[in-house]
Amino acid sequence: MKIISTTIILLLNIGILFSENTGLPNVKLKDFDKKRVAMNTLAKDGPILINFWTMACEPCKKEMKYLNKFHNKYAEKGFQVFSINMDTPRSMAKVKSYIKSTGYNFTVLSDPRSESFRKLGAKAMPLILLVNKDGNIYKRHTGYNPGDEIGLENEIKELIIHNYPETTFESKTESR
Amino acid sequence: MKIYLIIFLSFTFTQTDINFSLESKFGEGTNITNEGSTEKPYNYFENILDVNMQFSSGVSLWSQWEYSEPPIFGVNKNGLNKFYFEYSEDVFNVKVGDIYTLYGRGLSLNMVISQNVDLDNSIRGLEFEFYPSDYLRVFSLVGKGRYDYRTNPAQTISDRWVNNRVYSIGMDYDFNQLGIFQMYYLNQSSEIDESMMNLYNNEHLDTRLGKEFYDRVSYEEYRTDTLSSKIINLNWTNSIGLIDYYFEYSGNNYSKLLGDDTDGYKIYGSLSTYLAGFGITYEYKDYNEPYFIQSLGGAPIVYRESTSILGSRYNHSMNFNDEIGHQIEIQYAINENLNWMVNASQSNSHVGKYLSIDIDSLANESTQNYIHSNSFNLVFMQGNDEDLAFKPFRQFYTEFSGYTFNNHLFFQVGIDLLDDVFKYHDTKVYDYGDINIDNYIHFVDSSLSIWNIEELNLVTKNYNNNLSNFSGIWNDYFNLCESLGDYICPGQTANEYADSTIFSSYGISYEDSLANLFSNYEFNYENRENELKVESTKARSDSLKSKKYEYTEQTVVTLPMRFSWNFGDGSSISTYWEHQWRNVNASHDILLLDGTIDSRLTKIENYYNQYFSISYRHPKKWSITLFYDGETHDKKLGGEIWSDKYNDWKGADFTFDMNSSSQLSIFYGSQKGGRICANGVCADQPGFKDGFKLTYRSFF
Repeated sequence: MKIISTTIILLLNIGILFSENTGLPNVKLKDFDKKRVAMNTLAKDGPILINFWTMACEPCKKEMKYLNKFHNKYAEKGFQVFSINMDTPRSMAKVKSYIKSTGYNFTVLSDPRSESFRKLGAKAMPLILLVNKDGNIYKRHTGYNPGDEIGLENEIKELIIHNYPETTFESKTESR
Repeated sequence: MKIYLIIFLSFTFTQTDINFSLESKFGEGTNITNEGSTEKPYNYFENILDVNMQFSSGVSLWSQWEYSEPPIFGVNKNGLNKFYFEYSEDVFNVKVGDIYTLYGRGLSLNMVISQNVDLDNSIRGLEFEFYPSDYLRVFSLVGKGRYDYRTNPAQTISDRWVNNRVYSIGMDYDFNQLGIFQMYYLNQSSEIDESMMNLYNNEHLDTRLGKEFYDRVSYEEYRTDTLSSKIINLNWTNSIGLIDYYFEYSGNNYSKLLGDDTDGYKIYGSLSTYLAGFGITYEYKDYNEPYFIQSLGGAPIVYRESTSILGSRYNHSMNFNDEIGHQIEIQYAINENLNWMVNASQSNSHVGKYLSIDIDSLANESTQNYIHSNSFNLVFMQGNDEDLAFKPFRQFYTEFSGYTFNNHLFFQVGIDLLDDVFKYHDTKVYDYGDINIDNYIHFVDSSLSIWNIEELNLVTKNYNNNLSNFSGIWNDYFNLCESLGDYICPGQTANEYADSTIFSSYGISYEDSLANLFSNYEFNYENRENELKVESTKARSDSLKSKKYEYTEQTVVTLPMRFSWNFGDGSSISTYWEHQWRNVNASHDILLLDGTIDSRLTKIENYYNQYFSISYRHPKKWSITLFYDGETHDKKLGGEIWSDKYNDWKGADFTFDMNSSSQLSIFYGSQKGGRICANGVCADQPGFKDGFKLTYRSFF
């Protein structure tokens, strides 16, 4: 055990010396068609927002209503929302019918082992990641309170401009 | 070893992507029980640091360091807690270290970590996945680990453990139109220490495992045992049009504790569809491994774990080894701003037993199975003997949620109804053979009546004796004076002499003494009469018992409501308002031959709980919340109230998002505590009085 601890401390120190911006982990997720998708390739077509949620997380579900709006509203700017569901076998059977009934049209991926969540060092839900098109994390947020969607929409615009500086936005923020 | 380490380090480090996350929790106050009585000082200091590293070579490392003295749950930890290395290529994936993985829906293997309930059933070893084609995956796992768990969710420290050694191999294949088919073999050996045999023995009234162990194994045979389990698991998932279905079967050949091998199984199925705007999910479970000590599995629970504050305190406690049940959930978006959801679930155990007792020879007991004739009775819980024996559980929940006032107001209003027989000891059914019941009842009642009269006569007889004795003393003095005259009582009559001598000897006059004797007699008579009522009731119950019940059933009605007003400038006010009525019936009823019921030992508890919180969120990313949690209860024994109390817990919380990566939360006040559940495993969060909690989360 001492050897393992020493090794990890060593790795940690070396890691800090060589550290760069944090990217998305290389975790395989599954979509509703049971096809494998690598998490670190999600941003290959442009900046993205990733949210992590479960059926039991009520704030997550409140927030998703706005995420779907942002997904539709900024799709033409090259922005997409990906939603990672972490329901365990306890409730994973209900996820697809829930998403279908709400009419959300962003892509939902499944991570019942919470591997992506764990590798991102996340501790609480809802978790949102704003990710650059190079796969590096631009910003992250934990928790949701009504009203937070206004700041989030502004950050999505910042993210799009950060990745596509030529982008302009005509209308003012209107998330509700 | 050092050489390997150097080779490994030189192989991995050219460029590194790293992140850290820290969660610190500190609390100080007074520990309280649910009853509200103060027990002892309560404090914790828990720090969990996750370090994730991604190397350009493709290797990644997840490690978790914990410095907790003491943690909220479990024992102190200082140092590296968990870790794994992972290497991924397009065609394979290798993981070395602490393995958390899920096969199928977890009927046989679902290894998770959850700090909230102090659950960690991982193994340390190697997991390998190989993808020869887009359609085929071959996977394998080998390792060992210790799984600690609790007998009772109220315990903060685990009292049971299993040392597991595991290997498995399997494959899944995507048949496209026919869906994905998976099969695997899992071999597990689990060492259980001798010190835990008593714990299983103590379960003999509650579980099939405990009962079988209690009947089969004597105390002298206790020793450390290694159990084996060989599992074949098959599962299949597919989508046809709007219908998704999933089926999993797990066949298990396993050894009983200090016994030989037996077979068991778990079956799970789900069907979900989206029709005419309705999202419908149906799930079925049939878990029947009654003597298996589960440590690696975590099958679907097939009921709804409540998300409301009060509702979640009284979830059904799942028996993963002996339960059969159904769940249906319907989601419907009535319009863009209004959703409706309904969920119904039901479950029961496979076997319902009763104990048949020959009244002529009490030693001649035999355990019998109820034959369950009507499954609908379990859903509607008619409360008859056979329903109770199957430990039925049912839950119904429905809610409306949505937005109104131009999306400013969010509302969520629901109702949760739960009935659960969570404890059942075999009902004792007494067999009177050829005895004529009417004559027997008459005989018992007559005997008791005679006995009552005799007992009361004894009190009267005793009074008469005392009266006679005391009168005799007075008469003796009277006679003495009369016969000896002035020699013994000069200047006094015999009456006066007897009275004065009694007074000087006993300090009380003769008349008063007689009055006292009579008063004592009245008191003793009434007292004995009351005692006889109790004793006769008991004796009558003992003599005329037809059925003796011992079970605990709870009925819970919860009304959760949530409202949020969004001001539209980034600020909002949110409220939780919940009411709950809970009735717990710990029945010890005895049904007598004449149809009457003796409820002297039955405990009935009625609780009314209210929870209210109001929270203001400021656009500058801070929020403040006030909490109120109140409970009123009355507890009755045999119909008499013995406890009638009101308790409340109040607190305030301030949370500040320091930046997008750090959050600080401070709580001051009291918290009731209560049960929290994850993956069907529950733990009781300790109550907290007049203290503060500090939580800090950071990612860097």
